[in-house]
Amino acid sequence: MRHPCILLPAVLVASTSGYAVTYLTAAQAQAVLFPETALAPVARSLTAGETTAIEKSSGVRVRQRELHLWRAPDGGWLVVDEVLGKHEFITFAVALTAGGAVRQIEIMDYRESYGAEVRNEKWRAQFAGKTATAPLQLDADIKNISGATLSCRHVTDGVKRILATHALVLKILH
Amino acid sequence: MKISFSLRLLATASLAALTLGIAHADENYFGYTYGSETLPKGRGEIYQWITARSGKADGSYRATDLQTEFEYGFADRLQGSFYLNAVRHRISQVTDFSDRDQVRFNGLQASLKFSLRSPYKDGYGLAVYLEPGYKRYSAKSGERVDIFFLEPKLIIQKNFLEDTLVWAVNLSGEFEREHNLETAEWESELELQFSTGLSYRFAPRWFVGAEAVATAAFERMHLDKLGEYAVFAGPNLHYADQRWWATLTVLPHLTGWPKTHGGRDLEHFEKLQIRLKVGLNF
Repeated sequence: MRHPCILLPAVLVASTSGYAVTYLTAAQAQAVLFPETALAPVARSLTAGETTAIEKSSGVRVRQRELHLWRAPDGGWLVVDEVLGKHEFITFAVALTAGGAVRQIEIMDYRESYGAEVRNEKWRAQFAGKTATAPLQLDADIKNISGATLSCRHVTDGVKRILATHALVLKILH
Repeated sequence: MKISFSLRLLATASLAALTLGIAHADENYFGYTYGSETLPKGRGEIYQWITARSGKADGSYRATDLQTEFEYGFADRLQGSFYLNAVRHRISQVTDFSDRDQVRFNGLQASLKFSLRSPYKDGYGLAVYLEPGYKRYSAKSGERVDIFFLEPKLIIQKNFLEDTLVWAVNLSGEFEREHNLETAEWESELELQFSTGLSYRFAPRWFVGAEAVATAAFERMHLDKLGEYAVFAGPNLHYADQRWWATLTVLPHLTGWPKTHGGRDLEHFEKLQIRLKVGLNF
């Protein structure tokens, strides 16, 4: 071993392949969260003012202004969003009632080596019924999963951001 | 005979690491500074550390420390590690050093790390760490000695920007007893170390940052008997994939005491240290 730097090119070359597990596509998420219901896609981007208001209300940064939305005939919403995992993004879907309460959440893509326990049904069930007024804090109204803390925290923050988005933007959309 | 044993040891460890290459969490964002996270319960990790230390005031000096670390999560907040070490010295015409070109098995150590706070939900991360160990060769000269040491460490970590910016600080003290086999004398030394690192995720799976390490050694473990100190600082790069991660840190020697060469202490330390860590998780 003349110099450890000679290993670096091999490390960098070997790093180009990503790793992702897709559990649900957008269409599959619709079928799971709104079974036998025809959802209508809604094109909407947040304004700068809305972005600021959502960030202020939720305490969570808005990373994308373009929303990925579908509306149900009963006024409910399906929102697909992403949060940061330790290394990559975690894609998740949230089904909301017309009143802005969480019906269910699903993890769609998970690309991390540890922390996939956030897919656990019991953990996800904690979000059911939560609204924009809920604290949504780990170890408060949302239980943490040891060994998956970063994923729990970021998914919880993501749901909080979506609930604030509903309260400030979606609720008044016609 | 010693060389072939060392190479066999390292080859076996590397092969085991590659064979077991199955997944990862307590990945190291930094080469020298530890983060406060621990492995989840029941998960394991194998690291290979390679540290190249080179450059003295004169002659040719090149030392390479090789460490193979096996790490296991006993509980979600408690992990243990076991290390096998080897060291290579290639020294030629360096003042006060004997010429040598050797690779040697250099003892072993173990460690326990207990996480008290999580950076993801408690606002900051805090962990305590304890590492006893035994070394068979002087890291500086390559001379045969017996060194027994105990290293407690306090680890603090604070994350910013949705955990994309990681800052860590370590405070450690290494209590060392060294037996010189030629003179049959025992010597004691206390080494205090402060290290800190900042690393930013600039792209998915990639972190870049900087790290600084300050080390001071005190003779006979007396804080009023400073033997030497040095400060190293430089950049680091970290990459993590599903199954493995790697961290490269380059630390030039910025300043030291006693000043032997342009403000640096090149008697006790080297001009440059480069560390590469590769971790495989399972």
